[in-house]
Amino acid sequence: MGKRFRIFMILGLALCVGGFFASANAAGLVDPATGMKITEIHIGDAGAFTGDAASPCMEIFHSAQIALDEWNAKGGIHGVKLKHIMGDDAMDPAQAVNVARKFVADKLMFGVIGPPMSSIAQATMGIYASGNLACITTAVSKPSLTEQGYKNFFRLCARNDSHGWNCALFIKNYLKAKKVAVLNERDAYCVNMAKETIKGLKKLGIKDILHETIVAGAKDYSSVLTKVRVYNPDVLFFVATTAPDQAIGVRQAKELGIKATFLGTEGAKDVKDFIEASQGAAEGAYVYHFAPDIYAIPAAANYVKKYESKYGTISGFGPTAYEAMNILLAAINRAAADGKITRKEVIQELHKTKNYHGILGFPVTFNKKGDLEGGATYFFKVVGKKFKQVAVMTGK
Amino acid sequence: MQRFFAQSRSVKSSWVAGVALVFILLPHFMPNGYWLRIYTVTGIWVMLALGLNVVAGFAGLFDLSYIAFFGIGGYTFALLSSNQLGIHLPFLVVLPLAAFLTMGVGFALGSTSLRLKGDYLAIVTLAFAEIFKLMLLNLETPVNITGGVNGIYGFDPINLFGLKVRSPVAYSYLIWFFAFLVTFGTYRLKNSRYGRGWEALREDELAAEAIGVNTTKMKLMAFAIGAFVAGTAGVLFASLQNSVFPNNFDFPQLVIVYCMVILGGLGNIPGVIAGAILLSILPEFLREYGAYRMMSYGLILIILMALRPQGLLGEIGFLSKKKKRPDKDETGRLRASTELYYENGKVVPISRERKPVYAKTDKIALEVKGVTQDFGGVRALDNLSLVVHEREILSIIGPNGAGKTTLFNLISGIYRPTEGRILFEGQEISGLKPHKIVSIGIVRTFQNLRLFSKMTVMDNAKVGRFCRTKAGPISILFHLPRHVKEEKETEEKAREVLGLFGTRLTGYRFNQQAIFLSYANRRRLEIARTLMTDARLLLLDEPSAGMNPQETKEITEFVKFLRDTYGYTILLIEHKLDVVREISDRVIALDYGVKIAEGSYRDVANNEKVVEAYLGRKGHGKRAGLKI
Repeated sequence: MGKRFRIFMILGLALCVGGFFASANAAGLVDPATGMKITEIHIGDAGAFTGDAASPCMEIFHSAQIALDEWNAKGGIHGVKLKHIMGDDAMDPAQAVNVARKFVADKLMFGVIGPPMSSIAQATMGIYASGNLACITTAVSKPSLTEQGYKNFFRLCARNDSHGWNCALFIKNYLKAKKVAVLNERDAYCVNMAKETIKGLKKLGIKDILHETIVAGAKDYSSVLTKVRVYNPDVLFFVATTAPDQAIGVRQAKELGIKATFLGTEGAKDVKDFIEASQGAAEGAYVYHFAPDIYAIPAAANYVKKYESKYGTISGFGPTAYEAMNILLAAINRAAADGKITRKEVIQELHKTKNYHGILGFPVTFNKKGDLEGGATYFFKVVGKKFKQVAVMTGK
Repeated sequence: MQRFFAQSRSVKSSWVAGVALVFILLPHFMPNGYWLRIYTVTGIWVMLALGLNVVAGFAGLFDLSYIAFFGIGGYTFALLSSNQLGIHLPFLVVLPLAAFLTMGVGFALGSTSLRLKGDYLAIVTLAFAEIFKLMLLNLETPVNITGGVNGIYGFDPINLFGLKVRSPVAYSYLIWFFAFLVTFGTYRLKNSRYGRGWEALREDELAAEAIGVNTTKMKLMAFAIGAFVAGTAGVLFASLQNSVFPNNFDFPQLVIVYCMVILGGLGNIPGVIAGAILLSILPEFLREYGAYRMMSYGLILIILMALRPQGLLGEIGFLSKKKKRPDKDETGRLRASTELYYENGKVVPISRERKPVYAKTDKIALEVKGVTQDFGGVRALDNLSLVVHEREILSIIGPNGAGKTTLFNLISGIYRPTEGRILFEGQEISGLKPHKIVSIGIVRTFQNLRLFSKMTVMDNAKVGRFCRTKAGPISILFHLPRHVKEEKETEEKAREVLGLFGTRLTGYRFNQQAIFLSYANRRRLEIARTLMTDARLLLLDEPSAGMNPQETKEITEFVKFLRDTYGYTILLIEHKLDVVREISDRVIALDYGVKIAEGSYRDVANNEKVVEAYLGRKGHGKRAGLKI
């Protein structure tokens, strides 16, 4: 035991000494509160990089990494290099708290990308707030998160409730409808979505609305759809969760001779289970989605090329993460302009983010709560066997 | 750790004081909030692992619902001290409430699944855990109870008599305080009749039941105590996290707790604590490496388990030096117990100070009335009736398959007779559970030796006392007078009973595992175990099987001595006719489940049917006969 113990001790000492020299090289930023030299700026990335959600989370990580590498290639911030640090929580809120504590304790860390899950954001946002550490999440849509008064929490994706308003805008302004039928399933998301849309339509002056509920997984919607045919609306908004249900809906609507334009949910953005399953009935139908068709945005071409050459196809979570990292680093850059930097300054600068033009196809502004001003909902039209992006609504 | 408990009181208390001091100072020496957090969470994991150790380690039950109990504790706290349902009970009410509620659920789940063993128990408990998780996920509509995937958050701060627990340091004290209580509690349980009962149950359920351990109750208690600890940990965890979500209580967490217990060594308390500490710190070093994290974590676990399959501290300590063992010679070769026994060329006399005082009477002790036992189409016993008199030594002989052991299984309650009744001292016992029959006064040994081989000689003997002791968990945890008195009495009784066999089972052998005993000594220990139960009727199934002539002679004398000096009634199955002739008051011969002869040894041995049963039908005019 004595020998082994000595080896451990020597290894431990070597690590300490190595760590000291690695961290002690000179650079040009200072934390005014402690007088500590900032030798490297750390950006945390909290997410479930192992487990069931690993693949979208890794897309977030890789995309953010691309943005960070671009900044490093330009010489970092104020001459200081940037480092992207993974904090894996395996989708377990308890482990996510460990990650948050770790990031907060890291004195070189000035911002975090993530966390991308509602429950985990809820469990950790208080800890990030206690450390004044700014977080930009790219995938959390639960509205109540930004209603709790935390100043450090930003999101670059739409809240669930903003999709409703954006759908109303789309129906009124793009589809030019006057008479709308809204059918929704009885689950929390769909009920809420229908409610917000109807509220928005009324606000926009559309009073002629038929509202009915449907049952998830029912293979036959003809009784409800017969009602819709009699009502004869311009738009049929079919608020169901899964693509197969909406394929049945669109097909039966066509069979019954309903002329209304069909609008489906983000669940329907599935070539196989919606377009193909509808046997042609979906042609010309619309669906909304939280993620843009990144291939349709010219500004994103460079990012797409870099990502696809290294990691394969983009599923939808990556572009927002790339944008989030850029927005975060831009804020840090502004905060560091005077050669000093604190975490509070980074939060203040993030709040000042206004009309940032990146790769998402619309200008980004954070409101007071840290939410994306207006949210962003993308609309696609079924053309042949493809979804073609036709509009993005950002609350206006 | 056994040595730890053998230390004097002052040494022990200075140890405790030292450890306590370290833990009081530790939170203040954590480099930052991160390590303080890891330290605090480790306390939760230690509690969880120790609770699971009671179920899986002590009692050997493969319980996959354990993490659901953790969740029940957490959600109970969440619902009773938050705005979710608008209920705000004080922490000191919620904690016991949640813990006892979880215990109740554990009890209920245990009672429905007790007949299941191994894989089947695992499946049922896994299903329970899944149902629990689905309930958490779906009980948000139509009435929002659990908050679904978004969980419940924002709890009332813990208030202990006006002292608010808010800071991370305060939490670390609170949680480690409970972790210590659990450690302490599980130690006390382990070194009690409960601990021995569980260990016996884990080693050999049938033997445990047959020696008087209420296995049903012990399983339920293990379930309930495990759930109690998990529920308590759940409350503390929920409060620490200030939120609960379904994926806090999911399968991966269960796997981690199992890893901790298995890595540490099932049933070994310091090992399990070490496992919990190791596995809560290890992943932190790997958090930055994503997919590599799981790979390296897995690899480390595999290497550790390959090096120490019995766990870090399982069985023989990892760091402790090998003890000098008296049963090995200088070269390390294991010495047979008979070598020790005969080493001076003379038989060590057994101390039997008391004079023989008892003899056979005519009072009926056991009455078997028209008992029939069918196994499918095979009739093992056919309308058998017999009587055993008080303080009689009655031998049952018969060829293989005659139904002798079946008779024992019926009397001891392992089988329920197809037909007929069995009475002991006038009381009907057929249909009672084996442990019940032991407490009524009948105990048995097994033909193929069923000792608890990983338990010490002393503990093997002490298990026999289970049915005569009554101390419950409260009594054990708080060392109430009943427990203390019973433990003392059990210890004395065990020393006395093992002492009957002279040096064979005493001295250093007290702490030797039964598996290291010689064959003959195992037979002796099994008899010693039965004597601990205070039974009046002993059923000995071939006590001399596998013994050499010298040992056979000795065990024969010993059986006689038990009757003559202590007044036991003895029913004996024996193949060695020398033994039968030597000690039997009466002999009954069975063949094909039917009694073919009864009477003195001489009468039975000369009975034609008996001779025929043993040697086959006489054919060539030459008269066959058993040696008389």
